[in-house]
Amino acid sequence: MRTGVRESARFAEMYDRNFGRIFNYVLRRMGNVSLAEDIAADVFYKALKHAKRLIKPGNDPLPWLYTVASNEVNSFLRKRRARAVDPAVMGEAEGTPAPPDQEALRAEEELEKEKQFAEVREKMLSLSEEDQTLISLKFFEDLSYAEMSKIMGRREGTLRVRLHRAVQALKKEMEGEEDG
Amino acid sequence: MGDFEKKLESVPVPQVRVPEFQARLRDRLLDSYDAVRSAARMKRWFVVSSVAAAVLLAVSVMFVARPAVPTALHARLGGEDQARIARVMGWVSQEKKAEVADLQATPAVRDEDPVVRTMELDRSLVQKWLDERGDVAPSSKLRGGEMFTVSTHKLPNNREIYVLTSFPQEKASRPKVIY
Repeated sequence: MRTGVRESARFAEMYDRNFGRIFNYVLRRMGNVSLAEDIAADVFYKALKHAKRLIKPGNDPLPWLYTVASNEVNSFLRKRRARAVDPAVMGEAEGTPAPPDQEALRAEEELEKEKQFAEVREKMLSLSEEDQTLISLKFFEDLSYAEMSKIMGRREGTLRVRLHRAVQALKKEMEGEEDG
Repeated sequence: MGDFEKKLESVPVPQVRVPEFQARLRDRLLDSYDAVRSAARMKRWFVVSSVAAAVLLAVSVMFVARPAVPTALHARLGGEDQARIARVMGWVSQEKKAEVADLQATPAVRDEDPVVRTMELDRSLVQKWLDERGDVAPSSKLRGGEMFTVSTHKLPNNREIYVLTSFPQEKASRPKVIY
């Protein structure tokens, strides 16, 4: 019993340390506070099942959390693409968010302040899920190739090549916008 | 790094805080911590016990099946039989080989086949050896008028195994592998 209490305290500590990063990563990918809350909650419920491994002393849970968060986001985006749901109503289409509370509304306002980011994010949606993940992890999460390699399960060299291609694809999307 | 990469790096990234939601989720997670962990433990226990049961079953089947295969062997062993012997009689250790070698009193090589060589054994030596072993099934006890051979089987991987066979006097009876 005492071990259980100790374990749950360590899990709580791990949660406090990592929630902000994971929530913001998901939010930057999704651009919707309510959906980001739902996905972040899913990630940490999954973490609960693997708590023993994640709270093990000396083990950094962040790569695992990023991996699960990326998978959840990509899975959502794939489903959304398959259903061709209008991004403006994607929350309703999934039937997820209840009317946003005051905190969520404030968070949405904060998110909307970053117009330049919103433009990049919108263009990123036309890229593949993997390309979106790569660009987000590198440029918005500011992770190293070594960290990305742990998260994505690919070699650093492969990631460099793929990221270069993803950036080129995004550049093309954005320049197309400017030209048009 | 190209200009576009630099531009991407300089894009201000939103940092949003949702402390109320974070606290609510924290409480929900901790409330269900024990239930989820015990479910995970149960699942792990189930997987481990299933694997253990499967291993136990496999070992039991091997033990039960082991005597059946040597009994099915007889003096004329084909390539397939030898492969089966190799699998089933892997337990013939170096020590056992040495013991069998002791039995080879004045052996006469019956078959010059390089794969299977059969040697006749002195009956009293076989009886003495079986008595000393104590781990031979009662059905393998000797009766009068039998002939005994020990076959040396050279397997395709150059490993040698020994099969002790009794040949009952009655012509209708089939040779029986007793060890």
